[in-house]
Formats: sequence, structure tokens, C-alpha cells
Amino acid sequence: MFPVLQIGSIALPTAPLLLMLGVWAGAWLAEREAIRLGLNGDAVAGLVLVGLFAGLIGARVGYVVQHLDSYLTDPSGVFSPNPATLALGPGLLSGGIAMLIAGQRNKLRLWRTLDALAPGLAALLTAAPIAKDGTQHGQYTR
Amino acid sequence: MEQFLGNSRRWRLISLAILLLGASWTWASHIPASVADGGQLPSPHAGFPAPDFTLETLSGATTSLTEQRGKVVIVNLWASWCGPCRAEMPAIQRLYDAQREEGLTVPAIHSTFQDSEASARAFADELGLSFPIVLDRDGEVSRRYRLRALPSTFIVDRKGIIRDVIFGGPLSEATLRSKVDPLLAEAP
Repeated sequence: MFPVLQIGSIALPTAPLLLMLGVWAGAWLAEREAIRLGLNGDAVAGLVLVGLFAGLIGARVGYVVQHLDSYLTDPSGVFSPNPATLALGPGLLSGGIAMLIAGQRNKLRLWRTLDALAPGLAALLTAAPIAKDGTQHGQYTR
Repeated sequence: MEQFLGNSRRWRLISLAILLLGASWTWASHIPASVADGGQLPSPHAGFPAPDFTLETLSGATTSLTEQRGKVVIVNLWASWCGPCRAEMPAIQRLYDAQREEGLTVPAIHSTFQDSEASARAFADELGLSFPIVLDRDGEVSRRYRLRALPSTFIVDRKGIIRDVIFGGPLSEATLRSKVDPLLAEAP
């Protein structure tokens, strides 16, 4: 289990930080690979950020819809910065759709762009389970 | 070697053999469900039985987690000097008031070993907390729950299994409701 950094009144779990590192590594690798494949590196890196933000928004909206009764009682909870209230499926779907639209707008060739994104996705998929393990497993020690 | 690998049919067969070998290895080395679910060993993680505790409350009574079996439990670890703890307590109180009859209980574990009993009492009086405030005087329960940050919240179902762990806060009422309501709907 990864530690939680207590900075004043803010508790910062290190597992999501690792995930963010994975996203950064993914974007960097995608940009590098895009240039190698003759694509616009900035556009592909931007695509990753678009996917990330759209994914986060979609994941929160999805979670709220799944627990609508709870949020009707306390609507301000929609803006709670808690990562425990994100829905994976809607997040992936909205992130994917946003990337598809942004890619078309930037006239990026689909298959070549997917090729460019593949190494970055591998980096992200490496970081994600480690981050998940960091919150799910571990031995109790004194 | 080049000629050997250059044969596309042979290359496909090798790829297929590696794929089958990998799949067999994955299947053979999978962790049995009985082990994967923690084998019913208490551990402060989602999917595991919640570590038990027996502690004294602010009112002088003694309470334990096993006594709460059959109820949905929010185990909240806090201290009076912790800002996010203070910020989320009213939401926990509102939820407790609303769902108490449905089978919700909130043992709020006060980190007495790094705070003071007087501060806990003043905090509870100031915020009008009516759920049990239990005192972790020697820090043993905090160690069992591997306390790393305050507040830390463990959502425990009616069978005593931790279903959600949330580090930090403040938690909104909606967040808590979204975690607790599905568990309250489950059969006791």
C-alpha cells in the first residue's frame, strides 16, 4: 500500500499520483511516436489531454446518474473533488468519443493516430494496476 | 535462422504456440477465489472483513464493531485538529439522522492518542454529534486500520465486509449517500 502524504489539511494519496505520472508518460510517448509516424505531435499530445478531461467529466457525470437519488438530496456533491465517485465505463466512453471528435477536427488519420497512442497506452496500463494495487493490497505491519 | 523465421506459416504457428503457452500459464497460476477474497482474514481493504475493535465511548459505555453486525457501518477516523474531519462531520450527522432507522450506524473513532479527550468532547458538543464517539487511546485500532491520513472512512456492509475505503475529505453528503444507500438496500 502506498502512503498518503499529509500536507497541512490536504491528504494526498500517492497511488493516484502514480496514475497521473502514467498519464504524463503516456502523453509524452504518444507525442514522440506521433512525430516518428509523421503526425502532428502537439495535436496527438493534445488528444490525450482532451481524452483525460472528457473522461474525468464523463466518469463523474456517469457516477452521478448512477446514484441520482443521493445527488438530488445534496446537489453540491457533484463538485466534490473525491476520486471515489467516478464511474469507469462512462469515463472511458466519453473520453474515447471526445478523442475521436478531436482527432477528426485536427484531421488526424485514425489508424496512424492509434498506432501513435499505443505505446502511451501501454505506459498508462502499466501504471494503472500498480496504482490500484497501492490502494487495494498490502500487509498490515506495525 | 532468418529462413526459419521468414516462413510465415511457421511464424504463425510459433506465435500461436506462444499465445497458448501464455494463456495456459496465466490460467495455471491464477489465484484461487478462496485466497483472492482474503480468506476471511480481517484487513482494512475493500472486500475484506473489517478489523474488529472494542473501545470506550465518550459517554463511558463500551462498543465493538461485531455488535454492529447486521447494520451498515461508517467507520470514520478523525481528530479535533483535523480541518477536513470538522468539515465533513455535519454531513455524516445528517446522514446518520436520516438513515439511522434503516440500519446505519457511525462509530467515529477519535484519534485520542494524538489528540485529547477534552477536545473530542468539545468538538462533539460544538457540532451536536449524536452518533457514538469512540476513543482510540493507545492508537491500536488506528494501527489495525493502517491509518495514514485523517479523516479516513471505511464503509462496512451488514456482513462486516469493507466495501469502500475513502482517504481524506471532506466527504459530501451525496458521496456518503451514494456509498451507503446501496448497502442499506441489501438484505440484512
